[in-house]
Amino acid sequence: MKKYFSVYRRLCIANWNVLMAYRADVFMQIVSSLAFSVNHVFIILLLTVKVPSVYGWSRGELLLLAGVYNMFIGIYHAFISRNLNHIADEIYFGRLDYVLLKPIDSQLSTTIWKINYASLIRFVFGAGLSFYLLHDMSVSLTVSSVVLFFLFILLGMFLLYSFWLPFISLIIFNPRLSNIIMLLYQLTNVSRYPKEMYARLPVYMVAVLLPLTLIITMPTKVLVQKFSYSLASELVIVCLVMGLFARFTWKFALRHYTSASS
Amino acid sequence: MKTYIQIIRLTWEEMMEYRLNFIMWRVRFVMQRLVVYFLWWALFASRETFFDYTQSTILTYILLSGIVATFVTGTRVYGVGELITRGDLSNTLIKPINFFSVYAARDTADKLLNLFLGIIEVALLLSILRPPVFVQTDVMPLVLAGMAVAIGTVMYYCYAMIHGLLAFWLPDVWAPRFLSFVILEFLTGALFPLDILPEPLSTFIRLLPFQYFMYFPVKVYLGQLTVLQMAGGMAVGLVCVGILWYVMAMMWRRGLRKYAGEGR
Repeated sequence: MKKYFSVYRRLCIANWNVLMAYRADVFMQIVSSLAFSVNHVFIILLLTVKVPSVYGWSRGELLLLAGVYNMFIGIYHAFISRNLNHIADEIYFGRLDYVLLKPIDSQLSTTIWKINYASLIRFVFGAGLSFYLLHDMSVSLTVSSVVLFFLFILLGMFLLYSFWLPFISLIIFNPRLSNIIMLLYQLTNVSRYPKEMYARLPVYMVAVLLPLTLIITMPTKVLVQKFSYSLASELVIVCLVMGLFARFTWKFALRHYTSASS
Repeated sequence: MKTYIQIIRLTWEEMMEYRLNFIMWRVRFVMQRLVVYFLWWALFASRETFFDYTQSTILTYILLSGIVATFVTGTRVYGVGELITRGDLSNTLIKPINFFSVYAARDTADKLLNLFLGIIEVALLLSILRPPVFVQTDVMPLVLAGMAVAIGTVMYYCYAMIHGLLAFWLPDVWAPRFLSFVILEFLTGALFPLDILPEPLSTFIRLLPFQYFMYFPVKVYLGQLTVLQMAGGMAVGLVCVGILWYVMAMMWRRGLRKYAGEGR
């Protein structure tokens, strides 16, 4: 375990140095990330200006959902998505060998290698907005609700990662599947809105999207005290199943990695 | 002309070479539309009108703007940036063909294929979701909407090319392009009609050329603009095309003087 912490500390420093090497690029990334966040919140503000509630979610709650989404996605894009994006390149150019040869778990090493610090601006924006809204809605936070909130954020992070990884594993079989990354970013957007919004979708589509709709809905419901044990158990079960499936597909796909073009 | 038809055919072959990858790209488009569609559908669950839009007009707006977007913003021009930074532009420069025409032909191929698939996808969505949609039966708005799409298409070509040509001066054009995607999502009216915005902001955004990529053609189709607004919109659109074309041509001339074919 100590070895992993040591490796991660070095990776954090190395990524920070990379970030500082291209400062203009960082500035653009921060502006873009902020623009995404502001855009999302503005759309919710605009669309709820004449509607007091949508599917049982008040305007404030929907904005809080947007705040939590930005916190969540800020962390996810900073620490996880960039790595999964990077795997696609490594596979395509046959460089995954270097990762596989390292004396640490291959799935872990491919997940932690890159850190996009600029995305953390979305976390800061989301956290600021969430705090403001909680204060405005006079929601009192307890220690248990804060702990539960972060627990669900972690579970959501694990769920989204487990959702992405099987798709990324497909690239091992078909290295030219670069558009899958764009599709995953798009699918992640589904979690921006409440689960109830997709109620009218046909069952075969809901089955794919349902796990994603739980990711942000759950922690937000904890904050607004609409938490239910049935929904929480649903999330835990989905996490377990998806996690095991992701691990299995990654291991299975690796057995078929041919290191083409290296 | 034969050369450019051949380029169109080659671009189609290139796009269909990795079919699963291409399908992923289209699935992404459908997902994008579905999320916006359900967002609006949810808003109409408890009311009949919203900002002077009925459910049928707004859902028509969302689905149609998807088709317009796939045609107007479907482009191959974004590859120009990499072509310049890698020095591969030299390959094109030594050929007896016009650079802008080559990319116009490649864009044509991209747009036609995307339009064809976009129509099929929207038809599928219509058959699955069965939303109330508005069908324009008057010929005039249809013709004018076609003209508005043409203006938007040429304008987007210039806009995307300007982004690509920035590579003459910048080592990487990824960041400005990414930022432009964010801006476009908001300013083109892809997520909502621009006239639902608060008045000063709505007027300001409609003064920008971005509305021609999606909002303006769909509004013309829906017949929600007066003759004067349509004529004025077309005239302003043509002026914008002229300005962007001029900027693009100027950047090309100046950029070529700076181009050193680095990386070759």
